[in-house]
Amino acid sequence: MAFNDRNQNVKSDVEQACQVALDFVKRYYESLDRRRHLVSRLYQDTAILVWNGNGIMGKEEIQKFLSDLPSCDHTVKVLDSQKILDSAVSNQLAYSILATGTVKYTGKPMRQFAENFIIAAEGERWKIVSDSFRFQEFVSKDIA
Amino acid sequence: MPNIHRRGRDRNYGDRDGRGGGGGGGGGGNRDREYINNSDLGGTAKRVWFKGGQHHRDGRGVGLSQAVLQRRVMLDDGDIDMSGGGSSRNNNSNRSRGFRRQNFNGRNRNNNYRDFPPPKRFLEESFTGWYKARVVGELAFDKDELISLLSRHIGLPIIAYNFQKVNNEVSFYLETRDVAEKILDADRKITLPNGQKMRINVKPISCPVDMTDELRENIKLVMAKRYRADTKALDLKKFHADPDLLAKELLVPLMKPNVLNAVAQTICKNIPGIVAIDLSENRLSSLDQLRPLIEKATSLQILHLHKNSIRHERQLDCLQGLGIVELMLEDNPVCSRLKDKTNYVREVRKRFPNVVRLDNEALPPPITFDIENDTKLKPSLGSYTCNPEGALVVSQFIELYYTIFDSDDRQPLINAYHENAQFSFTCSPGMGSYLNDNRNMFLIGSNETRTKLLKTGPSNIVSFLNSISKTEHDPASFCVDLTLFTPQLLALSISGVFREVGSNKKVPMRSFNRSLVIVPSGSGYCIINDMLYFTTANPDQISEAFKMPLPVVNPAPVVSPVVVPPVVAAPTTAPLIPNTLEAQEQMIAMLSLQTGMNIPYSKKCIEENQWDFNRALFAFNECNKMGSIPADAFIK
Repeated sequence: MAFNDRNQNVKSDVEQACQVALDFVKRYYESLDRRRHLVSRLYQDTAILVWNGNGIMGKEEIQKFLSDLPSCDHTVKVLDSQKILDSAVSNQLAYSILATGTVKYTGKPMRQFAENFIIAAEGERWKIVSDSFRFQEFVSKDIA
Repeated sequence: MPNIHRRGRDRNYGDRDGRGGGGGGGGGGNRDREYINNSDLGGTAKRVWFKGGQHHRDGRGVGLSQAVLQRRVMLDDGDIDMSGGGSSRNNNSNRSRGFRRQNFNGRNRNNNYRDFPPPKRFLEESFTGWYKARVVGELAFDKDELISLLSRHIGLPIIAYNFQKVNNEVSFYLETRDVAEKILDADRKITLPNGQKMRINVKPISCPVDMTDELRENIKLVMAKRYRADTKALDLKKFHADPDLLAKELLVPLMKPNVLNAVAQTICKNIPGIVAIDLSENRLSSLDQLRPLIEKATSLQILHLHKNSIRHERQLDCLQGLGIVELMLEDNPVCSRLKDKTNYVREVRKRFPNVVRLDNEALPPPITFDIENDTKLKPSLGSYTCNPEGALVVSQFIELYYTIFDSDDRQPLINAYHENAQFSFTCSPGMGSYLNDNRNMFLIGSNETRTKLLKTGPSNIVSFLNSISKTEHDPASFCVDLTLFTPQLLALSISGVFREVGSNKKVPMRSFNRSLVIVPSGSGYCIINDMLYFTTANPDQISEAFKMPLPVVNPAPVVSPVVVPPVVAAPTTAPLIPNTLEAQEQMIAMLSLQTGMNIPYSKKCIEENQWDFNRALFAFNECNKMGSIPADAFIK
């Protein structure tokens, strides 16, 4: 009985995690690509964005940083998501999301990217707590 | 006797224009197509010749079609290769043996006419601008002596590249046509000390370069020498003629794509802050290999491309995006193409809108919009950490995790996962056997399958990890971004490159990205959420990964004993003890990480528990609950 309950819980957790992730990436990349001035609404006030190793703290700064990127077009091809264990996030609902695909910035060749998000429910809204974006590339460490 | 040679060499086209332009005359392009010219040669002989070599003559008329001509040129080119071989093979075959190459069998070499004067031989123009000379004879000279001898003979200075001497044959490369022609003309005109004539053959060549690590290193050294750090300017003018390369007999013309590529990669990697590059006088016709500079050399402002072979303005397209302010392009074929100056400037500005100085002339500043179309991306940086304290934890954790991940047995990773940990795997298309476990939710629609593909609990997770191929990760490729570090949890992502090992098949290099959520556990840490993504490495990663020499690692197959689950009262603990120092250290480090105890205490704990990891961990937890572990144990 206990096992079945647990199993049922896992299933519904999975269902919700997937649904939220699908909705989230759709909205996120849509705003980034088309309505970028609104994208920071998806971030918590104290969110962190790490863009190819460049760290940006806080919603305002993130909006500024993303606004300065050339116009872009993302295509997400692979998506995965998990619920973060309640105890780790003080019973707050939170998901870890991994999205990979291609991005094309104006005037640049198309590139592969991977982006890792942690989103959490803040009131009735999903907000990004942490976001780390990486091109699929070899970053030379010897650049001073 | 020498006459025979000459005649043989001249073959059937000795009768032509004053320079002896035979088959080559047709392909020379810039030469008069005067197929019958009596000016230098005896008219009688010529006429006889024509008739005599009738089957050669048929196409030689003025009306010869271009196609036929081209074909003939190719054949004749092969013959030129042979130089002296022609008639001597027929008349005196012993003489020329060993100097013969690429002879076209069945070619009729007319050698019945012994009294032709030696006409000048025609050298087909090289597409690459390079010629290879071969000199045969008993050459008791060193390079300098031979070159100065030849130089005196032709009355021009000679720069001989990649000079090689094997037995009685010397070869070297030349880059000027008139020198190459004159040297060819010196065939059998210089008498060697042994009384024989020096035999010389020159032909156009594509100049292949075999790019090795050593060569790359040599190129790098010369580049370093020619880079001025104060002005951030790199002088690659006439790069191949650098004395250092000459002295090492290395021929690395930048016109060869692989050489230009090596140069571009070196710039991107070592001097991305470069401001000026001079690439003049390198016979460049394509700039494609410089494309990586757009992304990496974002400060590049001055580019010298004059005196090259750039034919079309479209060749510059691949550099679009560079913030060039000053460009030198004169003396390229494209400049004569775009004769109209306004047009020329427009085509340049189309690619490089910021150019204010073109071919040493100031241009009026461009009129731009206030909304900048700035396409610059911030350069990528290595690992990021939101908290220095977290950085240490994370680097230890990851090092340990991947040491075990890359070992023969991933079972010990069971200790790295929380009892309720979740793990899932995704991959890009084309990943073969991995696709079975792909949880990509764009492909897996059913909640049932999504649930099934979510591995929960350490043993499920590790059994999956054990089921995938053995790996070797390149630590130099790792980018670890720690985004959250709170007392409750750490969130990080890792990306990097690995290759599969243990299989004989040559498998492509892979790239991975991983999202981890880690929580403190006891005094150590363990993973609660793990999402792993695999894809094929892209060319950029393939060319850069696994370059750093890895420290020689002793195989450590005996990490496995730690997993023997419950402590069976073994009569002897011997089989459980990791028998390499490395495996032992690994186990100690793992315990230290999980418990938060320092290395000496972790070691003590693990030794007291007969190298059984689980027992040591259990013992620690028990003692910790009772508070019987001295505070010293946690001081690192």
